[in-house]
Amino acid sequence: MKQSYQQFEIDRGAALYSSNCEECHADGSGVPGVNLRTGQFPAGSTDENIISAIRNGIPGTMMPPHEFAPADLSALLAYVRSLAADHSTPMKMGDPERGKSLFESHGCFSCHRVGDKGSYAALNLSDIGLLHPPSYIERALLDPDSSLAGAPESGQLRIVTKQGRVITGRRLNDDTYTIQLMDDRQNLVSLDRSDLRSVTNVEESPMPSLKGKLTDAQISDLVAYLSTLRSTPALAAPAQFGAPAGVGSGFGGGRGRGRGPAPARSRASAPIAPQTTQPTQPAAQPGGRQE
Amino acid sequence: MKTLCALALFLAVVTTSSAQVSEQQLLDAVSAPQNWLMYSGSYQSQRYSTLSQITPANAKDLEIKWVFQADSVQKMEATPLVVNGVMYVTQPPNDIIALDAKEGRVFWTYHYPVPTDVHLCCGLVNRGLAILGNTLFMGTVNGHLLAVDAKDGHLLWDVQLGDNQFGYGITEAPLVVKDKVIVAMAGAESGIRGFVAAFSAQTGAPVWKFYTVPGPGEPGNETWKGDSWERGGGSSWMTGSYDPDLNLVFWGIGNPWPDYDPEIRAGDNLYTDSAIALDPDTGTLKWHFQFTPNDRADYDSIQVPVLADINWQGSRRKVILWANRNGFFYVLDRATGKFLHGTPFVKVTWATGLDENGRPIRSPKGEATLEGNQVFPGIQGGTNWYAPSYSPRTGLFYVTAWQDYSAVYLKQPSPAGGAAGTMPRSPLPNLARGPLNTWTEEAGHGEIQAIDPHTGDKKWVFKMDDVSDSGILTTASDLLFTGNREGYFQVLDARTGKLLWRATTGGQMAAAPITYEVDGKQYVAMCAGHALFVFGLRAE
Repeated sequence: MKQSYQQFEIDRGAALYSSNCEECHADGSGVPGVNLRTGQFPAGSTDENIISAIRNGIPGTMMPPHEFAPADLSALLAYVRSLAADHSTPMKMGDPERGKSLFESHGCFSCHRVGDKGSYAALNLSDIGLLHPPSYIERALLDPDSSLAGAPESGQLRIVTKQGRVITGRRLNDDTYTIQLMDDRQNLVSLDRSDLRSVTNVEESPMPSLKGKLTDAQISDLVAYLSTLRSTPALAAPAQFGAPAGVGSGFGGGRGRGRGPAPARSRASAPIAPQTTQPTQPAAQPGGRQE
Repeated sequence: MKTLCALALFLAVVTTSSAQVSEQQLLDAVSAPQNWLMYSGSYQSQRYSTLSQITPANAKDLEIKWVFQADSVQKMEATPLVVNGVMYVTQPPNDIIALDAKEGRVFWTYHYPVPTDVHLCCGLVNRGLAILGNTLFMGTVNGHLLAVDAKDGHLLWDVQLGDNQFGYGITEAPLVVKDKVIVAMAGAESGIRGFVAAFSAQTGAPVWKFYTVPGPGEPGNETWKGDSWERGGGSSWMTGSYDPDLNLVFWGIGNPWPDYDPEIRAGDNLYTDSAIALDPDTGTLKWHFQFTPNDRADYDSIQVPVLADINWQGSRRKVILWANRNGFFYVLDRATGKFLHGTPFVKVTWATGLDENGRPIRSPKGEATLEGNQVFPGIQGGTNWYAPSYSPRTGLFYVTAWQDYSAVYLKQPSPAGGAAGTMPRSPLPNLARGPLNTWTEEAGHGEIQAIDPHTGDKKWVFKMDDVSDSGILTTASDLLFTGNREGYFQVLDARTGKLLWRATTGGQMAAAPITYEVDGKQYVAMCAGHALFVFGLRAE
């Protein structure tokens, strides 16, 4: 079993999980008797067992086979493992509505973003409930220096250019020759290392600890709210509007889950053509047709 | 220092960042050539830039500056956007990558998990994005429209427009007009009923929907036999244009379904193979012009509508320039849709010409027979979706043309119906033609043509051995940039058609070029194969 995964693998796996797995395995435990957060899996708990269950399904159960590219399978595995890695004694969850009020009234939007509100200075929390379990979120709120400092998604940099200009921001990407970051003016910035005098990792997380500033109950409320941030809510669009709909052409909501209205009539009733014309391309032309 | 009070005070200062791209900036896109803000560069869709650092004299000093390799086996057909030094490009099927436009390094990637059972006739591809404020808009191959935060790649909203189980999908870049996002559906090869629709850019709430195939009781429904309108096709998969003075958006509409069986849908089949003009506020049809009534050869009219203001018979006139897949080049009055002029730009045998209203006069040479008939142009058309260009400086319209034919014949009557069989997926964009080069003149060839809109005459023709799926960019230094299926990125003199520079990219170029500027340097970007190539002048 791989011991650790990159955050980008877990993030990609989370997105795949959201659109392919969440409908049954909601919160890792949507299927009775199956809790993916325990690290124990019905068809075996090795990497190979898990990948086989995803790819081939589990005979005799509702688990169907799925087609995923190898990289996507690896990402899904990373996400499922991450669910179990942070599994601990179930926490006492507070009231998400009260937590939302606390989030909005305590300045969290000054650094964080949820949906289309807030700042880009720190991690976007729109999917935080999908990416991390409540125990991790609680630790991040109470002890951010130990849990967040140096984490890829929150790494803060202080950069001094050869001209003496100071740039601070959140690292997005870097390589041998360049660095990409979201600067503190909320601009995407790419820098050439040859133009820089120094690049320093900020060891102390800019996230303030809430320990002692909020009550235990309030922390529970905040954790409960953040755990509900699992994806952008599906748009509640009317299924139909305007002129009469054609087959399957209504507007429906959904993030890869929603479907349009039922078809007005089935494809099997398509009219039968008395004759068919069949144009052909000159045989030597590669490339096929276009739409 | 890390107190909640400090953060709360900070709140008032930083919770909103200024909008990245305003409605006014979109209207003035031509006057800010350092950016590329929409699919065709401006609402006029001329794919023309006023940048002029790269010239006919120094084009020989171009070099590849950087390459972005896509994590995809489908070919890249996208036009990137560039906003203040940040490039946004799609990777097929539906990932968005934000890149440093100067060096090609990645800021973030948005991955849209496309279901594994998605089907579109001609490849799970995407042609680009639209932007307003800090929000990017992308259609997906399974028929969704997404809004994604341009700063950090987070999904803001997602609305499903059509069900891919019935063939609905989106491959074109959306168009932002005012506070709305407008997009049309692909899928006519699967018998959809096409539509163009507008959504609130802020929330994704639907605003209007215009069916490209009218239903019972609507004008035009009488042009469909029986209930053939229900799955009449009329998809669109190329981005439209917008005239703010006329308050009209223009969109090109594709073929009727079934593609090759005109009898079961006897009639003109409005509004397939047409240009349509819609009120962007309401979706109301203002005019239409049909290029190919009762199409039987897949002569889509999805071409990008190129808007130009030209002197026409002594007075200034707002026109649309349109080289159509059916082989004719048209000039239309864009206020009324009135036909002004039309001439073939490639060999055409299916029609003997156009009447005074622009309606084609069909020829028996274009009909399918049991023996087969050689028809020009072929089903890929005289041109297709390859973005054209118009230079206000040269006054010429530039188009990628195919000189080719199809053998059209009748099969035995079949109870299976008129739909063609399984369509090929998007081909891998390699350059091999087979073990031997058996290419013949009869197989057809590609051309870049410079057409005088006033006469339809060709000012010059640049001939290539192979056909080309590449769009065209022109600039104020009278350069023309394009690619081809042989994988050559080519720079031509826009006034003469002379080749000035070329580079081999190793992959078919089925996309259109753009140009932009960062730190005072001009770049040209174009997708080829599975990659995006960016060119610039060699440092002195």
